[in-house]
Amino acid sequence: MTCEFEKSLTAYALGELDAETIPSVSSHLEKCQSCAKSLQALQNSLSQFNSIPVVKPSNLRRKKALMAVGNSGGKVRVMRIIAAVAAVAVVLTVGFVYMNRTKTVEERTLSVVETDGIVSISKAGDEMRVKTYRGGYARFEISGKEGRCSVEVAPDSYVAIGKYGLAVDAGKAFVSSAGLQYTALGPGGESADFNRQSNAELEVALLNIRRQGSGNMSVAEAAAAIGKLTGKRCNVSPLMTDDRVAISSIGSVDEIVRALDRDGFVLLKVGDDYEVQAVLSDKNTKPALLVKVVAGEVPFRSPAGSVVLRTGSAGSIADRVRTCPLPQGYDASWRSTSERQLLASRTVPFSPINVVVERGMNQIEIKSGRMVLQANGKSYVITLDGATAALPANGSTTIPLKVEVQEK
Amino acid sequence: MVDSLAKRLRNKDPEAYEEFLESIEQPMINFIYRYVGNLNTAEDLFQETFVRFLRSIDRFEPTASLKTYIFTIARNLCLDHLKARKNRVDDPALEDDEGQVIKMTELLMTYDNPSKTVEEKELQERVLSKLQKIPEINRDALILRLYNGFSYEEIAEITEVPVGTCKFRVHSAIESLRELMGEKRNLEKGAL
Repeated sequence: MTCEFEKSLTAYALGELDAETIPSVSSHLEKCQSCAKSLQALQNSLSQFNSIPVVKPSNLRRKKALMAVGNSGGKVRVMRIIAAVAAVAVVLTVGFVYMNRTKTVEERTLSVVETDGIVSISKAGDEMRVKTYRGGYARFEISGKEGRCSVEVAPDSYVAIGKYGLAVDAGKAFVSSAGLQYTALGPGGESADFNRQSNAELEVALLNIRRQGSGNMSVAEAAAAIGKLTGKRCNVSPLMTDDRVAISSIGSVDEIVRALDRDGFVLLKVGDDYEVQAVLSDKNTKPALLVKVVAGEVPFRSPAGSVVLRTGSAGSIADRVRTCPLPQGYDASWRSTSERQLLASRTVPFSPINVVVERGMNQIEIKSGRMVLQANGKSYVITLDGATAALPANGSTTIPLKVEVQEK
Repeated sequence: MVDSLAKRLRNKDPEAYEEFLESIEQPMINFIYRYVGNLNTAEDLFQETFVRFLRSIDRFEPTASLKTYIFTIARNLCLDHLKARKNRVDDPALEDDEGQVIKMTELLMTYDNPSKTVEEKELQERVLSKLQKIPEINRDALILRLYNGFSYEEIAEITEVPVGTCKFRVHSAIESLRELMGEKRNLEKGAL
Protein backbone atom coordinates (compact mmCIF):
# COMPACT_ATOMS: atom_id res chain seq x y z
CA MET A 1 0.00 0.00 0.00
CA THR A 2 1.84 3.01 -1.21
CA CYS A 3 -1.15 5.04 -2.22
CA GLU A 4 -1.01 8.73 -1.32
CA PHE A 5 -4.50 8.48 0.13
CA GLU A 6 -3.48 5.84 2.59
CA LYS A 7 -2.61 8.36 5.26
CA SER A 8 -6.08 9.88 5.00
CA LEU A 9 -7.93 6.66 5.56
CA THR A 10 -7.89 6.73 9.35
CA ALA A 11 -9.18 10.28 9.44
CA TYR A 12 -11.76 9.29 6.84
CA ALA A 13 -12.91 6.31 8.88
CA LEU A 14 -13.11 8.45 12.00
CA GLY A 15 -15.11 11.11 10.16
CA GLU A 16 -12.44 13.70 10.76
CA LEU A 17 -11.76 14.84 7.25
CA ASP A 18 -12.88 18.29 6.28
CA ALA A 19 -15.75 18.62 3.88
CA GLU A 20 -13.48 19.64 1.00
CA THR A 21 -11.30 16.55 1.22
CA ILE A 22 -14.01 13.94 1.64
CA PRO A 23 -15.19 13.88 -2.02
CA SER A 24 -11.69 13.30 -3.34
CA VAL A 25 -11.06 10.40 -0.91
CA SER A 26 -14.47 8.91 -1.63
CA SER A 27 -13.88 9.13 -5.32
CA HIS A 28 -10.46 7.54 -4.93
CA LEU A 29 -11.89 4.70 -2.89
CA GLU A 30 -14.21 3.81 -5.74
CA LYS A 31 -11.25 3.37 -8.01
CA CYS A 32 -8.54 2.01 -5.72
CA GLN A 33 -9.22 -1.54 -4.59
CA SER A 34 -6.27 -1.58 -2.24
CA CYS A 35 -7.41 1.50 -0.35
CA ALA A 36 -11.00 0.24 -0.25
CA LYS A 37 -9.76 -2.99 1.25
CA SER A 38 -7.65 -1.11 3.77
CA LEU A 39 -10.57 1.04 4.74
CA GLN A 40 -12.76 -2.01 5.17
CA ALA A 41 -10.13 -3.61 7.42
CA LEU A 42 -9.76 -0.39 9.36
CA GLN A 43 -13.48 -0.13 9.90
CA ASN A 44 -13.55 -3.74 11.07
CA SER A 45 -10.79 -2.96 13.52
CA LEU A 46 -12.60 0.08 14.84
CA SER A 47 -15.70 -2.00 15.28
CA GLN A 48 -13.68 -4.58 17.22
CA PHE A 49 -12.28 -1.87 19.46
CA ASN A 50 -15.82 -1.03 20.39
CA SER A 51 -16.49 -4.58 21.50
CA ILE A 52 -15.22 -3.91 25.01
CA PRO A 53 -18.38 -4.06 27.12
CA VAL A 54 -19.81 -0.83 28.38
CA VAL A 55 -19.97 -0.60 32.14
CA LYS A 56 -23.42 0.53 33.12
CA PRO A 57 -24.17 3.24 35.65
CA SER A 58 -24.64 1.92 39.13
CA ASN A 59 -26.46 3.48 41.99
CA LEU A 60 -24.14 1.71 44.39
CA ARG A 61 -21.07 3.11 42.68
CA ARG A 62 -22.42 6.64 42.88
CA LYS A 63 -23.34 6.26 46.49
CA LYS A 64 -19.93 4.88 47.30
CA ALA A 65 -18.38 7.88 45.64
CA LEU A 66 -20.63 10.19 47.63
CA MET A 67 -19.74 8.38 50.80
CA ALA A 68 -16.08 8.67 49.94
CA VAL A 69 -16.55 12.41 49.66
CA GLY A 70 -18.25 12.52 53.02
CA ASN A 71 -15.44 10.66 54.70
CA SER A 72 -12.70 12.46 52.90
CA GLY A 73 -14.26 15.73 53.95
CA GLY A 74 -13.56 14.69 57.48
CA LYS A 75 -10.04 13.84 56.54
CA VAL A 76 -9.62 17.21 54.90
CA ARG A 77 -10.76 18.90 58.06
CA VAL A 78 -8.37 16.79 60.07
CA MET A 79 -5.59 17.69 57.73
CA ARG A 80 -6.38 21.36 58.16
CA ILE A 81 -6.14 21.01 61.88
CA ILE A 82 -2.91 19.16 61.45
CA ALA A 83 -1.64 21.96 59.29
CA ALA A 84 -2.38 24.44 62.03
CA VAL A 85 -0.67 22.30 64.58
CA ALA A 86 2.25 21.97 62.24
CA ALA A 87 3.08 25.59 62.71
CA VAL A 88 3.67 24.83 66.35
CA ALA A 89 5.06 21.35 66.23
CA VAL A 90 6.20 20.10 62.87
CA VAL A 91 7.49 16.84 64.15
CA LEU A 92 4.20 15.92 65.75
CA THR A 93 2.33 16.79 62.65
CA VAL A 94 4.49 14.65 60.46
CA GLY A 95 3.96 11.79 62.82
CA PHE A 96 0.25 12.30 62.83
CA VAL A 97 0.02 12.54 59.09
CA TYR A 98 2.05 9.39 58.80
CA MET A 99 -0.30 7.62 61.12
CA ASN A 100 -3.29 8.77 59.16
CA ARG A 101 -1.66 7.78 55.96
CA THR A 102 -1.15 4.28 57.17
CA LYS A 103 -4.77 3.81 58.14
CA THR A 104 -5.79 2.07 54.99
CA VAL A 105 -7.53 -1.15 54.36
CA GLU A 106 -4.38 -2.47 52.80
CA GLU A 107 -2.88 -2.71 56.23
CA ARG A 108 -5.85 -4.55 57.58
CA THR A 109 -6.25 -8.25 57.47
CA LEU A 110 -9.40 -10.15 56.89
CA SER A 111 -9.94 -13.65 58.14
CA VAL A 112 -12.93 -15.93 58.10
CA VAL A 113 -14.03 -16.98 61.54
CA GLU A 114 -17.03 -19.03 60.63
CA THR A 115 -18.91 -20.07 57.55
CA ASP A 116 -21.42 -22.69 56.60
CA GLY A 117 -21.56 -22.32 52.88
CA ILE A 118 -19.73 -21.21 49.81
CA VAL A 119 -18.01 -17.97 50.54
CA SER A 120 -15.56 -16.09 48.40
CA ILE A 121 -13.18 -13.52 49.68
CA SER A 122 -11.18 -11.43 47.32
CA LYS A 123 -9.05 -8.36 47.38
CA ALA A 124 -9.19 -5.78 44.70
CA GLY A 125 -7.17 -2.65 45.01
CA ASP A 126 -8.17 -0.95 48.20
CA GLU A 127 -11.21 -3.10 48.64
CA MET A 128 -11.82 -6.42 50.23
CA ARG A 129 -14.86 -8.24 49.04
CA VAL A 130 -16.86 -10.99 50.59
CA LYS A 131 -19.58 -12.80 48.79
CA THR A 132 -21.70 -15.63 50.01
CA TYR A 133 -23.27 -18.05 47.60
CA ARG A 134 -26.11 -20.50 47.69
CA GLY A 135 -27.38 -19.71 51.12
CA GLY A 136 -23.96 -19.61 52.69
CA TYR A 137 -23.31 -17.33 55.60
CA ALA A 138 -19.97 -15.97 56.73
CA ARG A 139 -18.54 -14.33 59.77
CA PHE A 140 -15.22 -12.73 59.34
CA GLU A 141 -12.97 -10.39 61.18
CA ILE A 142 -11.05 -7.42 59.96
CA SER A 143 -8.06 -6.53 62.06
CA GLY A 144 -5.97 -3.44 61.95
CA LYS A 145 -3.82 -1.28 64.10
CA GLU A 146 -6.84 0.49 65.51
CA GLY A 147 -8.68 -2.62 66.51
CA ARG A 148 -10.89 -5.16 64.91
CA CYS A 149 -14.27 -5.40 63.38
CA SER A 150 -16.41 -8.45 63.07
CA VAL A 151 -18.79 -8.64 60.17
CA GLU A 152 -21.46 -11.20 59.56
CA VAL A 153 -22.70 -11.52 56.06
CA ALA A 154 -26.10 -12.97 55.49
CA PRO A 155 -26.62 -15.70 52.91
CA ASP A 156 -26.39 -14.61 49.30
CA SER A 157 -24.93 -11.25 50.15
CA TYR A 158 -22.08 -9.24 48.91
CA VAL A 159 -20.12 -6.83 51.02
CA ALA A 160 -17.31 -4.62 49.87
CA ILE A 161 -15.04 -3.21 52.54
CA GLY A 162 -13.21 -0.24 51.16
CA LYS A 163 -11.05 2.35 52.73
CA TYR A 164 -14.07 4.59 52.92
CA GLY A 165 -16.48 2.18 54.43
CA LEU A 166 -18.48 -0.89 54.01
CA ALA A 167 -21.00 -1.35 51.26
CA VAL A 168 -23.63 -4.00 51.07
CA ASP A 169 -24.90 -4.87 47.67
CA ALA A 170 -27.41 -7.53 48.53
CA GLY A 171 -28.84 -9.10 51.59
CA LYS A 172 -27.56 -7.71 54.81
CA ALA A 173 -24.52 -7.43 56.95
CA PHE A 174 -24.21 -7.33 60.66
CA VAL A 175 -21.29 -5.37 61.96
CA SER A 176 -19.82 -5.44 65.39
CA SER A 177 -16.58 -3.74 65.98
CA ALA A 178 -14.21 -2.49 68.58
CA GLY A 179 -11.79 0.06 67.36
CA LEU A 180 -12.20 -0.05 63.64
CA GLN A 181 -14.85 2.31 62.46
CA TYR A 182 -16.83 1.76 59.35
CA THR A 183 -19.51 3.63 57.68
CA ALA A 184 -22.02 1.22 56.34
CA LEU A 185 -23.75 1.81 53.10
CA GLY A 186 -26.65 0.08 51.48
CA PRO A 187 -27.44 -0.28 47.84
CA GLY A 188 -29.76 2.66 48.02
CA GLY A 189 -27.05 4.75 49.56
CA GLU A 190 -28.41 4.42 53.05
CA SER A 191 -25.78 4.89 55.63
CA ALA A 192 -25.34 4.70 59.32
CA ASP A 193 -22.31 5.58 61.34
CA PHE A 194 -21.39 3.41 64.18
CA ASN A 195 -19.25 4.62 66.97
CA ARG A 196 -17.93 3.42 70.20
CA GLN A 197 -20.06 2.94 73.24
CA SER A 198 -17.41 3.75 75.78
CA ASN A 199 -19.38 2.77 78.83
CA ALA A 200 -19.79 -0.77 77.65
CA GLU A 201 -16.40 -0.97 76.00
CA LEU A 202 -18.41 -2.09 73.12
CA GLU A 203 -18.68 -0.59 69.77
CA VAL A 204 -21.94 -1.65 68.43
CA ALA A 205 -23.11 -1.48 64.97
CA LEU A 206 -26.46 -2.76 64.00
CA LEU A 207 -27.21 -2.84 60.42
CA ASN A 208 -29.82 -4.30 58.28
CA ILE A 209 -29.91 -3.08 54.80
CA ARG A 210 -32.49 -4.37 52.51
CA ARG A 211 -32.52 -3.61 48.84
CA GLN A 212 -35.28 -1.14 49.31
CA GLY A 213 -34.57 -0.55 52.93
CA SER A 214 -33.53 2.49 54.78
CA GLY A 215 -30.36 1.31 56.38
CA ASN A 216 -32.00 0.78 59.69
CA MET A 217 -33.28 -2.47 60.96
CA SER A 218 -36.56 -3.87 62.02
CA VAL A 219 -37.10 -4.20 65.70
CA ALA A 220 -37.21 -7.97 65.53
CA GLU A 221 -33.89 -8.00 63.78
CA ALA A 222 -32.52 -5.52 66.27
CA ALA A 223 -33.55 -7.87 69.02
CA ALA A 224 -31.74 -10.75 67.41
CA ALA A 225 -28.71 -8.60 66.74
CA ILE A 226 -28.53 -7.26 70.26
CA GLY A 227 -28.83 -10.78 71.53
CA LYS A 228 -25.88 -11.85 69.45
CA LEU A 229 -23.84 -8.86 70.39
CA THR A 230 -24.32 -9.06 74.07
CA GLY A 231 -24.53 -12.80 74.33
CA LYS A 232 -27.79 -12.35 76.16
CA ARG A 233 -31.20 -13.61 75.33
CA CYS A 234 -33.20 -11.03 73.55
CA ASN A 235 -36.57 -12.33 72.58
CA VAL A 236 -39.67 -11.04 71.10
CA SER A 237 -42.18 -10.72 73.84
CA PRO A 238 -44.58 -13.62 73.98
CA LEU A 239 -47.17 -11.20 75.30
CA MET A 240 -47.53 -9.50 71.99
CA THR A 241 -50.81 -9.84 70.22
CA ASP A 242 -52.13 -8.39 67.05
CA ASP A 243 -53.85 -5.53 68.72
CA ARG A 244 -51.23 -4.53 71.23
CA VAL A 245 -47.99 -2.94 70.59
CA ALA A 246 -45.29 -2.49 73.08
CA ILE A 247 -41.86 -1.25 72.36
CA SER A 248 -39.56 -0.79 75.23
CA SER A 249 -37.62 2.33 75.90
CA ILE A 250 -34.02 1.62 75.35
CA GLY A 251 -31.26 4.00 76.20
CA SER A 252 -27.71 2.89 75.84
CA VAL A 253 -26.08 -0.43 75.26
CA ASP A 254 -25.60 -0.64 79.00
CA GLU A 255 -29.27 -0.21 79.42
CA ILE A 256 -29.94 -3.00 76.99
CA VAL A 257 -27.60 -5.24 78.87
CA ARG A 258 -29.18 -4.29 82.20
CA ALA A 259 -32.66 -4.93 80.79
CA LEU A 260 -31.55 -8.28 79.53
CA ASP A 261 -30.06 -9.14 82.91
CA ARG A 262 -33.12 -8.00 84.73
CA ASP A 263 -35.92 -9.24 82.52
CA GLY A 264 -34.29 -11.74 80.28
CA PHE A 265 -35.59 -10.03 77.25
CA VAL A 266 -36.14 -6.65 75.70
CA LEU A 267 -39.45 -5.75 74.26
CA LEU A 268 -38.78 -4.74 70.77
CA LYS A 269 -41.46 -6.36 68.78
CA VAL A 270 -44.62 -4.89 67.53
CA GLY A 271 -47.57 -6.62 65.99
CA ASP A 272 -47.24 -7.96 62.51
CA ASP A 273 -49.41 -5.16 61.26
CA TYR A 274 -46.73 -2.60 61.79
CA GLU A 275 -43.36 -2.00 60.41
CA VAL A 276 -41.04 -0.44 62.86
CA GLN A 277 -37.48 0.49 62.31
CA ALA A 278 -34.89 0.89 64.96
CA VAL A 279 -31.36 2.07 64.89
CA LEU A 280 -28.75 2.16 67.54
CA SER A 281 -27.03 5.45 67.44
CA ASP A 282 -24.88 7.56 69.61
CA LYS A 283 -24.86 10.57 67.40
CA ASN A 284 -25.15 13.98 68.95
CA THR A 285 -26.09 13.27 72.50
CA LYS A 286 -26.26 10.09 74.43
CA PRO A 287 -26.55 6.69 72.85
CA ALA A 288 -30.07 5.60 72.30
CA LEU A 289 -31.92 2.98 70.49
CA LEU A 290 -34.32 5.03 68.54
CA VAL A 291 -37.49 3.30 67.72
CA LYS A 292 -39.76 5.02 65.36
CA VAL A 293 -42.84 4.11 63.50
CA VAL A 294 -42.29 4.51 59.83
CA ALA A 295 -45.27 2.94 58.28
CA GLY A 296 -48.04 0.66 59.12
CA GLU A 297 -51.71 0.28 59.12
CA VAL A 298 -53.27 0.25 62.51
CA PRO A 299 -56.45 -1.74 62.45
CA PHE A 300 -58.89 -0.30 64.91
CA ARG A 301 -60.60 -2.85 67.04
CA SER A 302 -64.11 -3.24 68.20
CA PRO A 303 -65.56 -0.79 70.70
CA ALA A 304 -64.93 -3.31 73.39
CA GLY A 305 -61.23 -3.17 72.83
CA SER A 306 -58.72 -0.60 71.89
CA VAL A 307 -55.56 -0.30 70.00
CA VAL A 308 -52.63 1.50 71.44
CA LEU A 309 -49.67 2.20 69.31
CA ARG A 310 -46.90 3.52 71.39
CA THR A 311 -43.29 4.10 70.71
CA GLY A 312 -41.18 5.61 73.34
CA SER A 313 -37.82 6.29 74.79
CA ALA A 314 -36.22 8.68 77.15
CA GLY A 315 -37.48 11.64 75.20
CA SER A 316 -40.00 14.07 76.56
CA ILE A 317 -43.67 13.52 75.95
CA ALA A 318 -46.08 15.96 74.50
CA ASP A 319 -49.73 15.27 73.97
CA ARG A 320 -52.51 16.77 72.04
CA VAL A 321 -55.99 15.40 72.28
CA ARG A 322 -58.63 15.74 69.71
CA THR A 323 -62.09 14.71 70.74
CA CYS A 324 -64.45 13.57 68.09
CA PRO A 325 -68.21 13.83 68.44
CA LEU A 326 -69.60 10.36 68.57
CA PRO A 327 -72.92 8.81 69.45
CA GLN A 328 -73.82 8.94 73.09
CA GLY A 329 -72.37 6.15 75.07
CA TYR A 330 -69.16 6.07 73.19
CA ASP A 331 -66.22 7.94 74.45
CA ALA A 332 -64.05 8.17 71.42
CA SER A 333 -60.99 10.25 71.51
CA TRP A 334 -58.06 10.77 69.29
CA ARG A 335 -54.75 11.17 70.92
CA SER A 336 -52.01 12.23 68.68
CA THR A 337 -48.61 12.70 70.08
CA SER A 338 -45.64 13.59 68.09
CA GLU A 339 -42.14 13.87 69.27
CA ARG A 340 -39.64 14.20 66.53
CA GLN A 341 -37.87 11.01 67.27
CA LEU A 342 -39.49 8.93 69.78
CA LEU A 343 -43.06 9.16 70.66
CA ALA A 344 -46.35 8.61 68.97
CA SER A 345 -49.38 7.40 70.78
CA ARG A 346 -53.02 7.17 70.03
CA THR A 347 -55.94 5.36 71.46
CA VAL A 348 -59.08 4.90 69.51
CA PRO A 349 -61.79 2.66 70.82
CA PHE A 350 -63.51 1.73 67.62
CA SER A 351 -62.84 0.06 64.33
CA PRO A 352 -62.13 -0.46 61.48
CA ILE A 353 -60.58 2.82 60.35
CA ASN A 354 -57.07 2.56 59.13
CA VAL A 355 -54.46 4.97 60.25
CA VAL A 356 -51.18 5.24 58.47
CA VAL A 357 -48.32 6.83 60.23
CA GLU A 358 -45.49 8.03 58.08
CA ARG A 359 -42.37 9.09 59.88
CA GLY A 360 -39.85 8.77 57.15
CA MET A 361 -40.61 12.20 55.77
CA ASN A 362 -41.01 13.80 59.15
CA GLN A 363 -44.68 13.97 58.80
CA ILE A 364 -47.69 12.18 60.04
CA GLU A 365 -50.45 11.22 57.75
CA ILE A 366 -53.85 10.09 58.80
CA LYS A 367 -55.56 8.34 55.97
CA SER A 368 -59.22 8.80 55.50
CA GLY A 369 -61.52 6.03 56.56
CA ARG A 370 -65.15 5.12 56.92
CA MET A 371 -66.89 2.82 59.31
CA VAL A 372 -70.32 1.75 60.28
CA LEU A 373 -70.97 1.64 63.97
CA GLN A 374 -73.85 -0.13 65.63
CA ALA A 375 -74.87 1.61 68.81
CA ASN A 376 -78.02 1.90 70.85
CA GLY A 377 -79.95 -0.05 68.25
CA LYS A 378 -79.00 2.33 65.51
CA SER A 379 -76.40 2.39 62.77
CA TYR A 380 -74.02 5.27 62.34
CA VAL A 381 -71.69 6.01 59.51
CA ILE A 382 -68.55 7.59 60.78
CA THR A 383 -66.26 9.22 58.27
CA LEU A 384 -62.79 10.35 59.09
CA ASP A 385 -61.14 12.78 56.74
CA GLY A 386 -57.50 12.34 56.01
CA ALA A 387 -54.96 14.76 57.35
CA THR A 388 -51.30 15.38 57.12
CA ALA A 389 -49.10 17.34 59.44
CA ALA A 390 -45.43 18.08 59.51
CA LEU A 391 -43.58 17.11 62.61
CA PRO A 392 -41.80 19.99 64.22
CA ALA A 393 -38.16 19.75 65.15
CA ASN A 394 -39.08 20.02 68.79
CA GLY A 395 -42.21 19.73 70.79
CA SER A 396 -45.44 18.45 69.45
CA THR A 397 -48.03 19.05 66.85
CA THR A 398 -51.77 18.92 66.67
CA ILE A 399 -53.48 17.23 63.80
CA PRO A 400 -56.97 18.54 63.30
CA LEU A 401 -59.22 15.70 62.30
CA LYS A 402 -62.60 15.99 60.77
CA VAL A 403 -64.99 13.29 61.83
CA GLU A 404 -68.56 13.15 60.62
CA VAL A 405 -71.19 10.99 62.22
CA GLN A 406 -74.40 10.33 60.36
CA GLU A 407 -77.27 8.18 61.35
CA LYS A 408 -77.80 5.52 58.72
CA MET B 1 -26.03 26.25 33.81
CA VAL B 2 -22.58 24.71 34.01
CA ASP B 3 -21.44 27.71 35.97
CA SER B 4 -24.28 27.35 38.36
CA LEU B 5 -23.51 23.66 38.80
CA ALA B 6 -19.89 24.53 39.53
CA LYS B 7 -21.09 27.07 42.03
CA ARG B 8 -23.35 24.55 43.69
CA LEU B 9 -20.53 22.04 43.80
CA ARG B 10 -18.33 24.63 45.43
CA ASN B 11 -21.06 25.25 47.96
CA LYS B 12 -21.05 21.54 48.75
CA ASP B 13 -24.61 21.08 47.64
CA PRO B 14 -25.31 17.33 47.97
CA GLU B 15 -27.86 17.44 45.18
CA ALA B 16 -25.29 18.99 42.90
CA TYR B 17 -22.89 16.19 43.80
CA GLU B 18 -25.46 13.63 42.77
CA GLU B 19 -26.44 15.50 39.66
CA PHE B 20 -22.87 15.79 38.52
CA LEU B 21 -22.01 12.23 39.42
CA GLU B 22 -24.94 10.98 37.45
CA SER B 23 -23.86 12.89 34.39
CA ILE B 24 -20.24 11.78 34.40
CA GLU B 25 -20.41 8.34 35.95
CA GLN B 26 -20.80 6.21 32.87
CA PRO B 27 -18.31 7.97 30.57
CA MET B 28 -15.86 8.24 33.43
CA ILE B 29 -15.96 4.64 34.65
CA ASN B 30 -15.70 3.40 31.08
CA PHE B 31 -12.76 5.66 30.37
CA ILE B 32 -10.90 4.50 33.47
CA TYR B 33 -11.80 0.88 32.88
CA ARG B 34 -10.39 0.97 29.38
CA TYR B 35 -7.35 2.90 30.49
CA VAL B 36 -6.28 0.64 33.35
CA GLY B 37 -7.86 -2.56 32.04
CA ASN B 38 -9.34 -3.69 35.32
CA LEU B 39 -12.81 -2.94 36.58
CA ASN B 40 -11.97 -3.27 40.26
CA THR B 41 -9.21 -0.74 39.94
CA ALA B 42 -11.47 1.43 37.83
CA GLU B 43 -14.04 1.50 40.60
CA ASP B 44 -11.42 2.67 43.09
CA LEU B 45 -10.01 5.27 40.78
CA PHE B 46 -13.48 6.51 39.98
CA GLN B 47 -14.13 7.20 43.64
CA GLU B 48 -10.76 8.80 44.11
CA THR B 49 -11.29 10.98 41.07
CA PHE B 50 -14.53 12.31 42.42
CA VAL B 51 -13.04 12.97 45.83
CA ARG B 52 -10.11 14.86 44.33
CA PHE B 53 -12.37 16.73 41.98
CA LEU B 54 -14.43 18.08 44.85
CA ARG B 55 -11.36 18.86 46.89
CA SER B 56 -10.01 20.97 44.08
CA ILE B 57 -13.26 22.45 42.81
CA ASP B 58 -12.26 25.81 44.23
CA ARG B 59 -9.41 25.91 41.76
CA PHE B 60 -11.67 25.18 38.82
CA GLU B 61 -11.51 27.89 36.16
CA PRO B 62 -14.91 28.77 34.74
CA THR B 63 -13.32 28.95 31.29
CA ALA B 64 -12.90 25.18 31.26
CA SER B 65 -15.70 22.64 31.36
CA LEU B 66 -16.38 20.58 34.45
CA LYS B 67 -16.26 17.46 32.34
CA THR B 68 -12.80 18.04 30.92
CA TYR B 69 -11.64 19.16 34.35
CA ILE B 70 -12.68 15.92 36.03
CA PHE B 71 -11.35 13.85 33.15
CA THR B 72 -8.00 15.56 33.57
CA ILE B 73 -8.00 14.45 37.19
CA ALA B 74 -9.06 10.93 36.23
CA ARG B 75 -6.36 10.69 33.60
CA ASN B 76 -3.68 11.85 36.00
CA LEU B 77 -4.82 9.36 38.60
CA CYS B 78 -4.76 6.59 36.01
CA LEU B 79 -1.26 7.57 34.99
CA ASP B 80 -0.13 7.57 38.62
CA HIS B 81 -1.72 4.20 39.12
CA LEU B 82 -0.12 2.70 36.03
CA LYS B 83 3.23 4.12 37.02
CA ALA B 84 2.92 2.69 40.50
CA ARG B 85 1.84 -0.63 39.06
CA LYS B 86 4.88 -0.80 36.88
CA ASN B 87 7.04 -0.24 39.92
CA ARG B 88 5.33 -2.88 41.98
CA VAL B 89 6.41 -6.43 41.79
CA ASP B 90 3.43 -7.67 43.71
CA ASP B 91 0.54 -6.09 41.93
CA PRO B 92 -2.88 -6.73 43.44
CA ALA B 93 -4.65 -5.44 40.38
CA LEU B 94 -2.86 -7.97 38.24
CA GLU B 95 -3.53 -10.69 40.75
CA ASP B 96 -7.19 -9.93 40.46
CA ASP B 97 -7.29 -10.94 36.88
CA GLU B 98 -5.98 -14.38 37.58
CA GLY B 99 -6.32 -15.35 41.18
CA GLN B 100 -9.56 -13.74 42.12
CA VAL B 101 -12.36 -16.09 42.92
CA ILE B 102 -15.11 -13.74 41.94
CA LYS B 103 -14.87 -11.85 38.73
CA MET B 104 -16.20 -8.36 38.71
CA THR B 105 -18.72 -9.37 36.10
CA GLU B 106 -20.23 -11.67 38.68
CA LEU B 107 -20.11 -9.07 41.39
CA LEU B 108 -21.55 -6.14 39.67
CA MET B 109 -23.27 -7.47 36.58
CA THR B 110 -23.19 -4.00 35.23
CA TYR B 111 -22.19 -4.57 31.67
CA ASP B 112 -24.53 -3.21 29.11
CA ASN B 113 -23.87 -5.86 26.51
CA PRO B 114 -22.93 -9.11 28.15
CA SER B 115 -21.22 -11.27 25.60
CA LYS B 116 -23.35 -13.98 24.15
CA THR B 117 -20.67 -16.26 22.82
CA VAL B 118 -17.30 -17.45 23.93
CA GLU B 119 -15.80 -15.90 20.81
CA GLU B 120 -17.24 -12.50 21.59
CA LYS B 121 -15.98 -12.69 25.12
CA GLU B 122 -12.54 -13.70 23.95
CA LEU B 123 -12.48 -10.84 21.52
CA GLN B 124 -13.48 -8.38 24.25
CA GLU B 125 -10.72 -9.64 26.51
CA ARG B 126 -8.22 -9.59 23.68
CA VAL B 127 -9.01 -6.02 22.69
CA LEU B 128 -8.89 -4.86 26.29
CA SER B 129 -5.63 -6.65 26.88
CA LYS B 130 -4.00 -5.31 23.70
CA LEU B 131 -5.23 -1.83 24.54
CA GLN B 132 -3.10 -1.99 27.66
CA LYS B 133 -0.03 -2.56 25.55
CA ILE B 134 -0.33 0.75 23.75
CA PRO B 135 1.80 3.53 25.27
CA GLU B 136 -0.23 5.39 27.90
CA ILE B 137 -0.02 8.77 26.24
CA ASN B 138 -1.48 7.37 23.05
CA ARG B 139 -3.92 5.14 24.84
CA ASP B 140 -5.68 7.90 26.72
CA ALA B 141 -6.08 9.97 23.59
CA LEU B 142 -7.52 6.98 21.75
CA ILE B 143 -10.01 6.16 24.49
CA LEU B 144 -11.08 9.74 24.93
CA ARG B 145 -11.62 10.06 21.22
CA LEU B 146 -12.95 6.66 20.28
CA TYR B 147 -14.92 5.66 23.33
CA ASN B 148 -15.78 8.93 24.98
CA GLY B 149 -16.30 10.97 21.85
CA PHE B 150 -14.30 13.98 23.02
CA SER B 151 -13.25 16.50 20.42
CA TYR B 152 -9.55 16.95 19.81
CA GLU B 153 -9.75 20.34 21.49
CA GLU B 154 -11.16 18.72 24.60
CA ILE B 155 -8.58 15.96 24.51
CA ALA B 156 -5.89 18.61 24.17
CA GLU B 157 -7.25 20.28 27.28
CA ILE B 158 -7.34 17.03 29.23
CA THR B 159 -3.95 15.76 28.16
CA GLU B 160 -2.36 19.21 28.11
CA VAL B 161 -0.81 18.88 24.66
CA PRO B 162 -1.52 20.66 21.37
CA VAL B 163 -4.45 19.55 19.22
CA GLY B 164 -2.14 18.32 16.49
CA THR B 165 -0.30 16.10 18.92
CA CYS B 166 -3.60 14.62 20.06
CA LYS B 167 -4.54 13.74 16.50
CA PHE B 168 -1.19 12.13 15.95
CA ARG B 169 -1.52 10.14 19.14
CA VAL B 170 -4.98 8.86 18.30
CA HIS B 171 -3.94 7.77 14.87
CA SER B 172 -0.78 6.15 16.19
CA ALA B 173 -2.79 4.33 18.82
CA ILE B 174 -5.15 2.95 16.21
CA GLU B 175 -2.24 1.72 14.15
CA SER B 176 -0.59 0.17 17.19
CA LEU B 177 -3.77 -1.54 18.24
CA ARG B 178 -4.34 -2.91 14.78
CA GLU B 179 -0.82 -4.25 14.72
CA LEU B 180 -1.19 -5.81 18.12
CA MET B 181 -4.45 -7.40 17.07
CA GLY B 182 -2.79 -8.77 13.97
CA GLU B 183 -5.16 -6.89 11.72
CA LYS B 184 -2.49 -5.32 9.58
CA ARG B 185 -0.63 -8.55 9.21
CA ASN B 186 -3.80 -10.29 8.08
CA LEU B 187 -4.46 -7.55 5.62
CA GLU B 188 -0.99 -7.82 4.16
CA LYS B 189 -1.31 -11.59 3.95
CA GLY B 190 -4.61 -11.15 2.17
CA ALA B 191 -3.02 -8.72 -0.21
CA LEU B 192 -0.29 -11.18 -1.12
